[in-house]
Amino acid sequence: MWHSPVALLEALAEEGYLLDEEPATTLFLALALEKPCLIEGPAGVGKTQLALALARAAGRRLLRLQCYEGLDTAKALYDWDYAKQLLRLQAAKTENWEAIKTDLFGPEFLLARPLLQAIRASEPVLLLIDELDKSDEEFESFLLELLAEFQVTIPELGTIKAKHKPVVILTSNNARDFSDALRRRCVNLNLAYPTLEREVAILRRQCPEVTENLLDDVAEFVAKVRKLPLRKLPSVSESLDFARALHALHQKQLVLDQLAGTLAVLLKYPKDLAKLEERLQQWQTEAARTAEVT
Amino acid sequence: MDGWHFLLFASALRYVVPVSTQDLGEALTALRRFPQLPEKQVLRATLIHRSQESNAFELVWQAVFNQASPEEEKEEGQKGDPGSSSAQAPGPGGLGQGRGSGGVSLSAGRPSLAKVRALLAGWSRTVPEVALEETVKQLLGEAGAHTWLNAQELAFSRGQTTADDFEEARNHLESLAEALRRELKIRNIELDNSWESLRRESWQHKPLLGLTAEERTLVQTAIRQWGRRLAVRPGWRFSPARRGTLDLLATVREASRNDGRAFHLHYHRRLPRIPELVVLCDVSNSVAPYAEFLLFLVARLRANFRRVRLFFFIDTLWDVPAEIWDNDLQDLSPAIETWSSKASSGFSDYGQVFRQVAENVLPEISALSTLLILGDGKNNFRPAQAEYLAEIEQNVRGILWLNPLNPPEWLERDNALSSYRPYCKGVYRCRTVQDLHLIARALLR
Repeated sequence: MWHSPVALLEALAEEGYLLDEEPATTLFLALALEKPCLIEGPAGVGKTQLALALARAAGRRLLRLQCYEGLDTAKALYDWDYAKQLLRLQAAKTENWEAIKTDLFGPEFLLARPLLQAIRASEPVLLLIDELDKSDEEFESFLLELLAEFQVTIPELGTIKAKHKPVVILTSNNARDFSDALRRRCVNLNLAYPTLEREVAILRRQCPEVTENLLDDVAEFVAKVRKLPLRKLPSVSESLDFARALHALHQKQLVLDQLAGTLAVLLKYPKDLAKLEERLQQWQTEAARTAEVT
Repeated sequence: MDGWHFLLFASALRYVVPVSTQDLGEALTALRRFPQLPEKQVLRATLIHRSQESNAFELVWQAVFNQASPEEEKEEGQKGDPGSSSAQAPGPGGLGQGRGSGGVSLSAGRPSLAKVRALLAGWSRTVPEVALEETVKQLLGEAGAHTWLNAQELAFSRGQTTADDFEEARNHLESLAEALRRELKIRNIELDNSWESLRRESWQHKPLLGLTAEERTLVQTAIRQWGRRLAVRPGWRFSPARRGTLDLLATVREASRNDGRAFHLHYHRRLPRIPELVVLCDVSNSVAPYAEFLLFLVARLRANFRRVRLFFFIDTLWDVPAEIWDNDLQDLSPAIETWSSKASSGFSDYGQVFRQVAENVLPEISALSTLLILGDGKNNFRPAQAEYLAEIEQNVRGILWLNPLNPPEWLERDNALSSYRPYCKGVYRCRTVQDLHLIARALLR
């Protein structure tokens, strides 16, 4: 697909996704070795967005499987169209049962879910298995065949191998750990919060309507907030919301004593908000002291 | 990278991280196909499957290729960057300022890794695992790092630097300590001429006390998973019944009692066993870090017990209310600190605590309870008063003792475990995540 990590970086940048060189190299190796890529990292760092941008950059159709507790093969892989099977039975009362019996479990009555769609796709696709950590361990074990061999086995139909190997991206917020078997089949990409410079670049690209001064201030402020011991650190998407919120309040730059009411956009837990407000007072005092000295 | 170094690196890495032959094949393919990519990054991407294994990877890389650690690279980068304020900033508070009565100069420079490493020139002794932290502290002290941090703290309290600067100073010291730890471990490998000591770097074999923040999360996730698995695998007990499976033992026992004349068939049925658990947890400084993981495990296994009661102790006993430890144990550490500062001397006294349990707690708990004690057994040369533990043992189903120390240390002079051991159904080492796994199984057996 791409001949180097830099080419991959540029293709992603064209799609509006900015990535550092190190994670780009890891992603590049996953693509080059045709292995699934397991992207891990805190919520809101852009794991899903990376998969979406990759699909656009590679010109592949995106198939997305959103994981949740209780997800099973009937929702993820395939199911039989029972209503249609009943109709078939009613319509063929006089036919030979042996023939109908075989026919009933044929491809015509198969409902392909995202995983099977990805395997049977006639064109190259990108399969996004989103938030795999939310699914059960049984489902994780079930995925092993798909991730290693790019094939699935349906008892009534046998083994179906992918016509075109899909690009498989798995994401996880680390709510639970995965087995060694699953990890071994994937290239692991750990996506962390962006550096200050990278975040400024992201903000500028995503919020062109906001002044550059304000965006720089927001990135710097968020970087400081991320150093605090909070339950949920602000993500990139929350930085974007925060910048847009301040812009909506007609602020041209970030002023510490004019943030009342806006911090809730950045932090989601009351305890975190209280901690930040406390630290904000300290920052204000320090800023006043510095101003006095200068 | 030549084949020899590749194999050397792979075999060393295998002491810490599981590396399959397929992984190695893929690493070789990637190295061959993309010679322009940094080798370290290619190997990391193909051989490392957990972010928590990155530290171990760094250590092995540095040991095999003797290349700069990330801390050194950062330091080098800062030297070359004229705009870097942290690399060139003078000591806070201004040059030559005294520190009041202490008389320590604030002008002491920011300690660098090079300065700390210089102290290791000619280092010729291995540092055992237990002495590692102490050695790191000592070396940092010799490099003036603690004095420098104290000066930073003083400057911060005087309002001469900001909280962020002080935080940055602490982080700098922590990264120096980490680099030093890595350096000492590499020296150990060289002096031992063996990779064996690397094995302790795996999060599964590492002492719980020395886990990094990432590894702690990994251990907690692992514990949560066992909790879920063990929750659906209850222990069993047999109860006499009119129908069910034949109780051969009871049948033969009765027959033998009557010389085989009366022969009645006895039956029993298998029922899930839902025991009660009483946890006695030493929270003195030496044991507290281990207590956190044990309590996390117990909290995950709560569904398997009819009732769980938790007591903390140092030299007195504290019946911990359920609401305090019901959640994710986040509020537990401050609660322990508050209690221990108010109600305890800080030195463990097991005899005294067992007396309190025998007198006050024993009448309230069921004879079917399992008593789980977490403690190192160090009694600070106070009387063992083992008779109270003997009394407790008579009135509960069994006592399990978990000890974070290594078994040879159980026999040290100030350790009273040998007096208590006869009354325990089992004494387990509770030091690593592997130990915890065995304990979880033993608890439900």
